[in-house]
Amino acid sequence: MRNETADGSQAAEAAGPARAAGTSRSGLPASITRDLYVDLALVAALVVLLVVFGAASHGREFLETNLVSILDAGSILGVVTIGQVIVMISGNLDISVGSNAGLVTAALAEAMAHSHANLALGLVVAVAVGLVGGAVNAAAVAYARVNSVIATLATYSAYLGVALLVTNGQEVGIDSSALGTLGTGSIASVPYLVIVLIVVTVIGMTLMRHSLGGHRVYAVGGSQQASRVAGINVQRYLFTVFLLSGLCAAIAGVMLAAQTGTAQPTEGSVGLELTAITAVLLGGTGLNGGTGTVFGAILGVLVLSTLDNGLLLLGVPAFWQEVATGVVLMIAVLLQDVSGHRTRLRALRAARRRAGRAVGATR
Amino acid sequence: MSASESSAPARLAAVGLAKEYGHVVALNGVSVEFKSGLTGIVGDNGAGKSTLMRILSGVEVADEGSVLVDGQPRAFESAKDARLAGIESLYQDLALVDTMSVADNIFLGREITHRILGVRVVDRRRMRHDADEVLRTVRISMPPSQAGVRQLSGGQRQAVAIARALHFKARVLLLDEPTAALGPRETAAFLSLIREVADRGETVVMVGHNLPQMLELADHLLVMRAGQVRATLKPSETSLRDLAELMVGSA
Repeated sequence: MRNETADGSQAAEAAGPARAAGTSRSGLPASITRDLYVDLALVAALVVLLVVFGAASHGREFLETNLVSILDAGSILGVVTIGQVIVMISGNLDISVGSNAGLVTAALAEAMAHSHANLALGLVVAVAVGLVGGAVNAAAVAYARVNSVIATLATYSAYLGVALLVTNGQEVGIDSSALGTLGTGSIASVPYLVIVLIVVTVIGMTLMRHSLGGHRVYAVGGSQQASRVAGINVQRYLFTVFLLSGLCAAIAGVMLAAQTGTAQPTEGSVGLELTAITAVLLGGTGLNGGTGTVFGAILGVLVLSTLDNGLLLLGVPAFWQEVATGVVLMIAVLLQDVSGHRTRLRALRAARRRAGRAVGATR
Repeated sequence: MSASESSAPARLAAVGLAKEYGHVVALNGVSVEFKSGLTGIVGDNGAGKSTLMRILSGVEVADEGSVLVDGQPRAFESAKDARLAGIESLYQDLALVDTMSVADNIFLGREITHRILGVRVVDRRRMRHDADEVLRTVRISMPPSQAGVRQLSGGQRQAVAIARALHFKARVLLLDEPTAALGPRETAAFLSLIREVADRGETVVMVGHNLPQMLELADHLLVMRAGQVRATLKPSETSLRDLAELMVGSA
């Protein structure tokens, strides 16, 4: 590693060649190694879950038939979670994603019911509704400066209400074989819905990790004030983030309609927001913004989905699945907190040591 | 530099700046030219020092008067405008994103990017490289630029902000009580860094409360009281007592 001290041999002598704080033994920044740690822990948890469930049920058969169904069952949650993790990295929450997805499903079904099952029109309406839903949240948070929890709690209720109004609270059938194929079909035994999830995940990961926009969402989530002072248009990024969440809700709504073949304004969509938040938290993203990864959130989805699937397979009553989800979240957050604490402590001590040397380097 | 500098208009100047908050007059007709080197601004609480700095840095807009950069009046509507004009400000703790690395913070808002398929992609490797380079010129010992800002001490945080100004070749550096949160040793290190920047001929403007320190450090001193500039002094010809009297208004 390069000597990181100030210029001049005198300075180098005073400061010494010690490893700088904030970097781990591998030389990676603490934040990255922490993300890595969380990801590895989640992968380990996944493997353990799969092995336990596999051993407890029918071994190989479990893995063959259930890996796909785990992914399939998690695909809709996964897409919603991508939107949610981006919102949470920006330091906000989107409580409305579930009911927005439900509204999208309802709008899709109604549009098709009134247009001789025109799927193209249905999809356009679906995406438009999801985006409008996202834009309302976006305007409230970015421009009216409403706290995102309050704003999206309000729209959560409003979108749910509109979905019930549009459908009269009834299930609406969707007559479209193409949509049905999307919901149940597969290529080389990979369901279309899983492919959608993979595509959305890859786009989300790439944008958040490499694009300027993603970089600035991290900045805005880390400190709005610092971002503003640096000339970043904070409102624009906040707006975009909620719009993206609306887009994800739209995609999830279409997937839901495809999977069930009907539009049920509440079934399958309401509650999605909390599960998505759970998955994001499992994936190592905090509530304060500026940290977390799309990849971690997707691992969180897989853990939750595997847990549900495995417990179901073992014949554990559904109520216990909810309990298990809660326990897993609690354990995960506690573990992450401990590791975060350690990193901070180590950093603090090193900073104190360096503060002592700094003067030696300049005198 | 001095011969050409003296004939050219000052890099930064203010003409007739006035600002009121409700009924409180914070600035009342401030006109001043900031010469190259370090200008210290001293004054009692409420003298208008911070208001002046906030207007110069674009954070606030004056009710009257204008800010001149190289003799040209500029209308700053945001900190970004001022920054584009080459005026870099150090804010107490506001200007760094704790969750990001040192390099990310140096380039915050001015990231190095290239286009891939029309998408602007952040070039982290180049940002780290350039950040490490500029950090080597900052006389405070720093971790590599990929370290998180959260782990830095107060002096190192200020050094990040200075590095940012140096890298983007800021023409004017505004510091509002930059050492308020630093311990004595870090203060010494930080001030010697500031002194070095001023010695390179940059224009540095610094608000401070520590009068002996300001007398020792500054090339020019500005005394403010009740929203006005009461005196422009040469530290070498000024005693601590004169300064204190000018500040409270008994002289």
